[in-house]
Amino acid sequence: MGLTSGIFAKGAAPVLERALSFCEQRHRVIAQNIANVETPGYQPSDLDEQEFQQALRAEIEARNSRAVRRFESITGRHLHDSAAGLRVLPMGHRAGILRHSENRVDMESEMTRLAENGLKFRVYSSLVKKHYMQLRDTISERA
Amino acid sequence: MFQTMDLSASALSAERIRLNLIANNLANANTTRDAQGSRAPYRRLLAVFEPGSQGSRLGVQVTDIVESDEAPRLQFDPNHPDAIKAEEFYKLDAKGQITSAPRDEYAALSQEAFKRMVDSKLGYVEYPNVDPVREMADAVLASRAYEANVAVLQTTKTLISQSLRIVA
Repeated sequence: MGLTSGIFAKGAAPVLERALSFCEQRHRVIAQNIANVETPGYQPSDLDEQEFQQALRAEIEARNSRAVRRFESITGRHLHDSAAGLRVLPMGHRAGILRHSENRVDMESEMTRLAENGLKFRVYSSLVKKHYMQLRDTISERA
Repeated sequence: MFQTMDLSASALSAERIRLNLIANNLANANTTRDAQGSRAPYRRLLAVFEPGSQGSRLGVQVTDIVESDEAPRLQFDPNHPDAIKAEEFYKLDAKGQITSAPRDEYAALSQEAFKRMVDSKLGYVEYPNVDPVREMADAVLASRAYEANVAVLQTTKTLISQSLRIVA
C-alpha cells in the first residue's frame, strides 16, 4: 500500500462512494419504473435500502475491528457485479393498486422516492466534496 | 448515470409516438375511406409498449403499432355516399329472390337471416371506432407521463452535475 492509497481508502470517502453508487443504481431503477408507467403488465421494482445499509454497516464494523484500511468488501461487489449484486426486488404489495392494465406503478410514490433519492445523492456528493476539500487543505497546509 | 438518461429518453419517445397516434386517431375520427378511396372506415391505432430488458436495454419500447378491431361506429345517414346499400350484399331478380351469392362470411346464414341482417345495416355509414373522449383522456395521460419522464431527466441531469462538481 503506497503513501496515497492510505489517504483515499481511509475514513468516510469509501463509505460515501458506496452510498453514492447505491443512490445512482436506485435512481436508475426508479427511472425505469416511471418510464414504464403506461406499459401494461409492468411490475415496478426497487432496491432495498435497508438491506444495503445493513451490509454497509457490517462492512464498516468489519473494517474497524480488523483495522483494514480498504473495503475489500461485498458492498463493492454487491453493487457493481450484477451477478452477485443487490437484488432488484419486485415491489409486490408495497406498490400501488393493480390497474386494469395489470400495471402497478404508483406515480406519486415513484416521484417521491425519486426526489428523496436525489436529495440523498446530493447529501452524499456534497459530503464527498467536503472530504476532498479537507484533504486538499491538509495537503496545502491551509487552515 | 448516462444510461439513465437513455432510459428516460426511450420513455419520452414512446410517449411521443403514443401522442402522435392519438392525434392521428382524432384527426381521422370521421374518415370513412382508406387511402385508396375505397370504403373502409379508419381504425383506431394503438401503440404496444414493452419494458426494456433488465440487462442491456432499459426503458420502454414501442414494439408494435396495431389497429384496433373494435366494431365501427354506425350512424344512420342514407344520403351519405358511403352509406351501406343493398346492392353490396345481393341483387334481387324480378321475383324478389336473391340472385348473387352472399359474401363468404355470411354463407352460413339462411337466406331469411341474411336478409334481416342486411336490412338492419342498410342506410348506415360506418364511422371509425374512435371515441374522441377516450382519445382526449389518453392524450392527457400520455402528456402527463411525458412530463414525469422529463422530471426524471431533469433530476438525472442534476445528479450528474453534482457528481461532476465533486472534483471541482
